[in-house]
Amino acid sequence: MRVLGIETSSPQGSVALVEDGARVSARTHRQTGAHAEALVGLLDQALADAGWTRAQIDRVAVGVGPGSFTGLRVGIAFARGIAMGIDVPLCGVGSLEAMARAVPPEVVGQRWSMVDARRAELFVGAYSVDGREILAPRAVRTGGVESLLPKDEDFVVVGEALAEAETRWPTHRSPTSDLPHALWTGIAGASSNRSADPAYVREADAIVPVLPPSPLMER
Amino acid sequence: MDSNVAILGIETSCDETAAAVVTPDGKVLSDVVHSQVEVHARYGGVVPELASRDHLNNIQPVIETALSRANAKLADIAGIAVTSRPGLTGALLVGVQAAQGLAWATRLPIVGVDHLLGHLLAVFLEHPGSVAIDPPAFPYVGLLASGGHTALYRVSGTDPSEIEELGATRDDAAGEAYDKIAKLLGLGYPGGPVIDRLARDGDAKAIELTKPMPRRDSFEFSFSGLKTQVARWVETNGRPGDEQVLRDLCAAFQRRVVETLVEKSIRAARKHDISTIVLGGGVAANSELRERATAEGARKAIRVVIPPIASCTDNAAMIAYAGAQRLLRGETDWGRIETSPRTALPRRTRKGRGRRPERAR
Repeated sequence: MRVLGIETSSPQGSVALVEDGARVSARTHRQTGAHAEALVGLLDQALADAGWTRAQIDRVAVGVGPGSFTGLRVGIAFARGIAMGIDVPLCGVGSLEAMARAVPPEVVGQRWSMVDARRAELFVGAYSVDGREILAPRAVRTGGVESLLPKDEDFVVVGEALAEAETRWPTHRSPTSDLPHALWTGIAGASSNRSADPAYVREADAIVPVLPPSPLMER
Repeated sequence: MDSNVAILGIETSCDETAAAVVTPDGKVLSDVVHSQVEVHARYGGVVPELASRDHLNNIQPVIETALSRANAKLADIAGIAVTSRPGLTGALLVGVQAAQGLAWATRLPIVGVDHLLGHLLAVFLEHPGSVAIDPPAFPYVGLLASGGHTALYRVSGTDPSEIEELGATRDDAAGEAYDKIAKLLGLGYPGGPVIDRLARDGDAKAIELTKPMPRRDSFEFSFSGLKTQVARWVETNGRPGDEQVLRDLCAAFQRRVVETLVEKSIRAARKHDISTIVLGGGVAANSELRERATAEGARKAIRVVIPPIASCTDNAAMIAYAGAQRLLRGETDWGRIETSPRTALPRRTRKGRGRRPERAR
């Protein structure tokens, strides 16, 4: 199966073409707020690198977060357009799950994926070595992470978010696990049956104002 | 590209998710609009993050419905036109990205369209079953009045370079003033339809409000002072209940808005020696504006063209039509559509406070 992966939930945007669970081509950019402008170009390059035609894509997989609200929508709307355009199935892949996938199987312990969620919080999700979800993705105060970590099990923190600040915990870092990367979205997407709906985790923060009561009587 | 083809239009600039299939000469084959009014009503206005979320939920079904109602498949579509500006950035991005994904997958040409250009050209749309409008000749004066924009234009053709702003609002848009007054009076969101309905039973002369921006030589608008007058009136007299004075207040407010829009449109046409005025934008759905513009035009021997309401409020058919004109010339913005909160049409009026230098016109 040939899968197109798209990931734009973080400041890094990426696309990847994956065949039978292996990378064929991938392109990455890291320019804040530029996913919308960059995606078409990245995709053209990745397709040329792979030597594929559009019609050879069997499936589209897109990162559904949690992450930047706008970043998620840029990738998901784009993925929906592509899946509609070439008429293939579309699925979603959790962005923290994709990071956990990037950790090679010889690394022991639970995968605790973390990305910067701004406002002094992290998006955190934990997965077993075989990819099972242990802790569903959520926003956690940076200082509150420690209390969630397992006390008597091996674990590894995945991602760049805490790498500088926190040296007490075993950490896994690599170019495709520091932030969610489309390579793993594509690989996980081959077998994902999740819908491509965003996992915002956070509410929209809209405050309902106190509005004056209606003067109009029900008729 | 020949003219006997279908263009897919996509529009997500504010609080309507819309898609339409239109021929380049304006025949509307389908016109689907999903309104978010219910999402935003309890907030008293559009909440950008909620708008973006709702657009993403609805963009694909709206596009698919537009295609199926037009009895079209993507293979029947010759090009895609999408609103790229002005609007809420997060909202625009949903439509632009879905359109770019579609265009990438199908290799169809795609163009970004200025939402205001869409409104100014919406008069050329032909909705099946609605009374055909004799299309206006260029140039015409376009009065665009909506919740986000209020301005007068000289429209000399379908290309953005043929549009000249004659004057715009310095502060609130006309529709914005309606929404704010409705919020103040407890009438809910959006304000236009309810105030229009109440005003019909009111006496516009019962409450004195002064005319906004009355200078005869200016085509600029200002509605925030009028809004403040209504707020002062409420401070002094209390918020009216379901009684005649509520209808009178709505009528007085609406009269001032409508006469300003109509008088300035007619003066602009006369000054520029143009014989046609075309209305557009959501406020052009207002019944008093439609009546008075028609009546005043007849008195001054100016043709006033008022498109059907479906063409005035936000829709994707007007975007498809405006984009089709560029697509027909073989243009494409493939892979380089940028969104912006601002219009690309040249602007004359500066928004915001402060003195303006006197300008010869």
